[in-house]
Amino acid sequence: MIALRTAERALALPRGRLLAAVLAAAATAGAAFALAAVSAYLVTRAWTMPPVLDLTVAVVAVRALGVSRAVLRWLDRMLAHDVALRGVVSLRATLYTALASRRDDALTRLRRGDLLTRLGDDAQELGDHVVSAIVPALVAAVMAVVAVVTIAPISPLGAAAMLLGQLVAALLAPAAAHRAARVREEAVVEGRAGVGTSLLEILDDATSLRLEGRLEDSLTGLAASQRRQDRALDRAALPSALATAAVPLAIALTVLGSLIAAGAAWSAGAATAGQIGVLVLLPLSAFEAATALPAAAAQHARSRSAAARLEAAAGERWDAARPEPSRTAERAITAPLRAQGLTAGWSAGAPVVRDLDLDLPAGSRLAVLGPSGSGKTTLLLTLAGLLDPLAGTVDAAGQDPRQQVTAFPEDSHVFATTLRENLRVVRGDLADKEALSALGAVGLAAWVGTLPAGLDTLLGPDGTTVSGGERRRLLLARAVVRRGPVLLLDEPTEHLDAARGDALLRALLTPGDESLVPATSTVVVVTHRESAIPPGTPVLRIEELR
Amino acid sequence: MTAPAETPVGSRVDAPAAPARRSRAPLDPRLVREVRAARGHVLRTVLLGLVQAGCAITVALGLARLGTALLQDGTLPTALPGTLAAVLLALGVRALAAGITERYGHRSATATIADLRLRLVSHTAELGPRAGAGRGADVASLATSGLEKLRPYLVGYVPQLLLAATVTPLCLLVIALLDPLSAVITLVTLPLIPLFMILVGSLTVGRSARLIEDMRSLWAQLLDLVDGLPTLRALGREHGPERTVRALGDRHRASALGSLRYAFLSSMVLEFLSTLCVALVAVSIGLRLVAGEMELAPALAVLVLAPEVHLPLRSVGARYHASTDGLAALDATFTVLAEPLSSAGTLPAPDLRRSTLALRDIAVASRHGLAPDGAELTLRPGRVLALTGASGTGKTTAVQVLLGLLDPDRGRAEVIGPDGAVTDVRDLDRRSYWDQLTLLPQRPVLPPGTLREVLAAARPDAGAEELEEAARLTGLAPVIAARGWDADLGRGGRGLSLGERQRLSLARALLSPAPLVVLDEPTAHLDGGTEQIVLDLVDRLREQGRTVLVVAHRETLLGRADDVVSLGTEVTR
Repeated sequence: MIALRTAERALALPRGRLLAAVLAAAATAGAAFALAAVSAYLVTRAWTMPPVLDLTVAVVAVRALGVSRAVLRWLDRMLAHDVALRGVVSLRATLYTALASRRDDALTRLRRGDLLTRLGDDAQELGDHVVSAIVPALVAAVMAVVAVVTIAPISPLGAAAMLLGQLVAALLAPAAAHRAARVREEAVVEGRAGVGTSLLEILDDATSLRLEGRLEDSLTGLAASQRRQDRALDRAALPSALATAAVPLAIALTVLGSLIAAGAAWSAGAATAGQIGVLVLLPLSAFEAATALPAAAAQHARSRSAAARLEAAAGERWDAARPEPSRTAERAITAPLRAQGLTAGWSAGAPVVRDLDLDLPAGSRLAVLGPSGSGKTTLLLTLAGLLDPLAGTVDAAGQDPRQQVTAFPEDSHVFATTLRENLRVVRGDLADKEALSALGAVGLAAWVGTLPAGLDTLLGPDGTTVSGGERRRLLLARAVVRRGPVLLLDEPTEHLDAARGDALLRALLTPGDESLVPATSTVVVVTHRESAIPPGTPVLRIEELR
Repeated sequence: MTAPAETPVGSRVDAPAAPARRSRAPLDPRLVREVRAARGHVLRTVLLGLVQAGCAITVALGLARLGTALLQDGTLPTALPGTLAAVLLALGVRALAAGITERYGHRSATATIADLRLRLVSHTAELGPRAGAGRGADVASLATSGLEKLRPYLVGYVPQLLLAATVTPLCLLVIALLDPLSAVITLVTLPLIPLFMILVGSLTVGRSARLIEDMRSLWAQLLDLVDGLPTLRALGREHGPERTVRALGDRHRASALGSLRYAFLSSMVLEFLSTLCVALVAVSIGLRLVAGEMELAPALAVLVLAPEVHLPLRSVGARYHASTDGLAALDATFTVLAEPLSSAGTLPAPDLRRSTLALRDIAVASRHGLAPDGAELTLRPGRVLALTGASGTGKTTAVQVLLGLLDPDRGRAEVIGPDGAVTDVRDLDRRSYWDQLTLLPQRPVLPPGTLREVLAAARPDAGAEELEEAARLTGLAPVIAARGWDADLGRGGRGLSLGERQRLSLARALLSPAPLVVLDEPTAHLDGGTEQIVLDLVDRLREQGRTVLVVAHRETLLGRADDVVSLGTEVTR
């Protein structure tokens, strides 16, 4: 619940607009309610054969309501979606800020797909929370009061029946729907692990499974986990059914009470024929707003889960995150990198590097070698301060490594923007001349020549696609334009042909070679091309450390 | 009765809307024909729809009788216990029917999804490597999240659709019997609904297509920024883009509202016609009552029934999105299921220890033209053949054709038996063929179990020494030393790193008694140092007299081969 409150605060819904949306939606529901009330009055009053003029107001009102409801409906939808979309924008910006300003390694630990889901789907889920849960719940409350207040002057007994019916609809239906949604969600999460995993395995490995004759067994296994999930899902069906039946039941209760009240009022002479008509027929039309409550409760359950996921990613009270000025603060020209008793890894149970002492003087070079999967990248992220050490410390010139160290991970993102902006992301004040010379230094001069708009060429899915080798060089070019005190590069020459890649590697690792990086920069390069490492370069072998 | 819970039209408030759908029947006939659970669901829903219609009519007539008796004769509702009980019973039954529809609707949806999912997975697996060519990843997402979209369709949309087919006409019929004029008013407005919907739709389609395109592009930019956040952070530039996130979000909101403005018009039309119809009926009845041209009882009954006619139609409209998503998932599923399986041959495979395998002018269509295009190779028994070529020339595809996993678009794959008899691979009983070979794919696939079980599964009769020998030769020994023979590898060998899995697969290939060993890029996940293991393995297999087909890039591996076949123009040797 606390997580949902946090998320709701992050939505920062403008109160005026929310109120307008609720009022418009209540007016829409009110129009239908009034139409039912006035037409019931009109028909029963007409039966007493008053002068036609007496009915004029009712006739006009019925016609007006018939037309106005549609317009109100359009308006309330627009207002509700407007306020929800505003909320999502604010939530997403706050979430981005919160994720960006986390001091720990939460962001590094978030898988790429998860990050997109948090800022994409979960943010949207909270937008739906406004449209499908907050607004309908408020409207249902308003309309319950309106229904009771309408009946009260005619018959207190009828009003009591209406109140009871509204309470049943407002409590029973959402409670059952909420329960169903929770059960269903648990089953789906469970199923994702069971059904989803074995399904993807079968689809991925179909060829091998067929060849080895294991396909039948795997399909049987899939069917079994599907049956388990089905049984779990089936538990949600009963509360779901109860939620659906709750509103019609509330109507039945109210009808009974109203009929008895109408009988009492009429025989006591306390009500006119028109009023009796309202009393008898109105219960059928007084629950429109309440029918949205089961869906609202289900949405509430989904919103809670989404909010919990957001909190897990962004930390408690993430709604309070405020942008801070960019870390473009003056950097040293050079800095030593030091690690003491460093144990690094993704989980305490499986450290990839244990008790490492590292003392890199300013301007020195280090190659990190090791077989694939040995944890070279993990070490790099830890040295850059992007992954918290399991034990020990890392510092650059005595400071938090993030102040001085720039890491260029293998999976760095190429933004769907121009080539120039993809380099400027490293240094905002980068001049074209410097950008072109960096691209030349990493062997991309010919490629830039083929681009339709040079540095202005759009990269990414909607622009020029970048091949694996080009991408790798582009990331290297980023490191080149960086000119920072400490640079950590992850497999910068992978996917390049051997001769060209090795030459670049030598240039990076030879102290004093200024063709790629300044001589003053401290450089750590993760690679598996042992043969290309210049003689005399300090080498750290990961496997030996295990 | 009151209006149903309306799911908002733009229920995913800011996701880019789906492109305009092709027009489809609202109930896919293939679903009813082929899925038993769905058929039962439709039948039950129709029956319960009839029950609900009966209830609605009973309530209307009963309330009218009770109201008339009270107003005309002063008879209290409690003095007519039969009618009062009928009304309450009808209301109760209606609640029950709605509950049952929901209860068993969910169960049917669960069963339908499970049924289609298993069929889809099994069919796709049987279709072989090119299943649903060009949308490999789509089948996975269709089978997981795509099919789940059937639930809102089956539980939400289909029942309302069937109510529109039962409650609407029956209520209209009763209205016609009670008061023909009201029926005429209703009948006139009913066909206007689809008419206006189409009109509004065609007026807005161009406009919203542009807006949706705009939304899509803004959305993509936003996601790009999100995707790049870890990179920005690694570069120490993570602050600042939040302003862009907000600006892009605001522009996206403006676009989304622009498109919703038109999307909501159709629901406005629906709402307008149905409320207007009720208003017109009420006024017409009222005026005739004043004039003494009508009785009170039918008037009240018509007033109750008039909204019931439009109610299911409005619900159907409100659940339009559930229907498009569900129908799209269904269509995609049945399209995959309709792809014919490759013919299953019946001829037993000859003994591969003494047979030659050959590809003759093989071509397979891929997204980038034919790959391979005219592949030829002859693999004689006991020889090591290396298949090489630039990436994208179809090496793996050629192997799949040779193994009878994939039908070529041109040419044929043959097995030439010891007696010289030539058989098309497609005519072979695949089981008898596959039992004689072992394939090591690029990404190793392992059965679940402990290290010992997984290794021993390659040859169940192998002794402990043989297992250790195989482990030693493939560099698996250090892994066993570190983890022990009884380490549980979990599903698909997840307990091991990729390199370790590769070594375990190599050991399995070595152990297996299969006369033909196919290695697809066996050095892909190994470092230079461990490459030697593969080279030794190939030599070892040759010593054992086995036939080896290896897809390879590296010179060292090509050097170990007896024959080298290069696909495409690039000749390695």
